[in-house]
Amino acid sequence: MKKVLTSLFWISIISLAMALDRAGFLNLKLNLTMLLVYYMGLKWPELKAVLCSAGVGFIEDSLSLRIIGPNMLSKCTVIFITSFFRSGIFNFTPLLNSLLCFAFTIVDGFIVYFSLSVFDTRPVDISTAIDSIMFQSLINGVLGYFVMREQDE
Amino acid sequence: MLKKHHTLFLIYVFFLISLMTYQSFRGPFKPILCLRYPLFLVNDVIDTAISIIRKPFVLLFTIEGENVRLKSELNRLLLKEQQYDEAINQNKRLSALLLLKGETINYVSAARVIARQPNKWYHQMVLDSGTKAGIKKDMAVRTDKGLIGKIISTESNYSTVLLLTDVYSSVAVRLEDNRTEAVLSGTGSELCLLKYIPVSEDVKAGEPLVTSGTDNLFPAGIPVGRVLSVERVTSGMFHEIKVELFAQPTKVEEVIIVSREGT
Repeated sequence: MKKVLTSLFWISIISLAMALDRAGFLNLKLNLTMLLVYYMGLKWPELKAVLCSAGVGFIEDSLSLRIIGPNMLSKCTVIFITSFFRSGIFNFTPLLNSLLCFAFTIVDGFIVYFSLSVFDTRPVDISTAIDSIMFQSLINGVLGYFVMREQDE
Repeated sequence: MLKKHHTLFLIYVFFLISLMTYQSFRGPFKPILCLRYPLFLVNDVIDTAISIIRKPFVLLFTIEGENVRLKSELNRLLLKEQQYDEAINQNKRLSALLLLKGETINYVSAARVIARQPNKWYHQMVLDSGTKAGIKKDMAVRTDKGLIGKIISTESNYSTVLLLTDVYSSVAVRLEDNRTEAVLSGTGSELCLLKYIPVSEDVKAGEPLVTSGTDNLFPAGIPVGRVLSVERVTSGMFHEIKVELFAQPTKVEEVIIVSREGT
């Protein structure tokens, strides 16, 4: 029963994040699912995190009405890179979490952008894409600082 | 463990790339061609930078070229305007002459001034008509405003006019209001001298003069000028009267020649 409730909780959280991503803020799209994926990569078992992030990516790709794959690739890449940071080399301070959220959002955004550019049509101009990705990174960096600190405490 | 993760991740990436390639309408994924994208991006950035730098200069050159073109156009239009003004003035003058020709009974010919005496000692000018047009020596030369001189020599295609302002010129005139006869002589300047008006005669400034016809050269009744100033000389017998001509000989371009015959 507890597992079901936990699953429902996470499904709700992910759905809310996706809804907020699509709603956007100040005419710019957010990337809060990236924050959740990063959290999964840090806290969850690797296989579970990979499967969940792939599922999130699959849902995002499906909702985008484009090819399936860019978000799956980006989310799993983030999980893969996060696994290096879990090896014990780094001490996860709130500032490091914030920086990693910032950097991973950029990685995620560029993987999606270039995948779409290569395999599908280019979504937007590169300058617009950079603006949008940097905005998402800043938001995620700030949120990453606070959310992860609460978790650590 | 880490190598296992690497392998799984590479398999996963390969699977996703295959999946996206399968969905792509561009055909199979060609990694080499993807290398072009950074080049395209760099090319775009360089093109944009160059166009931003070039834009003010291109604008400057365009404006400079346009400025030169507009100046040339302005000069051409100014020249054309001058030609139009000249044509309008000529039209007015010729219309006045044409009207005068219709009113003048002893009309001989119309002529254009083609030369003037370059020195200040002789007040003469040359017309572009001569004996072929019926012009003879001693015929009167006038404009629509008044008398300006007489023919002193003619050739087949040109004639020479002695102007009223020449020192050797004399014309028999009459004060139009006073009806007193006198002689108008040139002085070598723009003004002429009215001679032989007795001091007993009351002459007023502004009074017009016409030819009297008593000199047997000029037809009677042609306007000549107006009295500019009258100096009453106490010691002499005659007034010293300066006369301003109606038609300034230095500004005349077209004239008509009038004969005395028939008047």
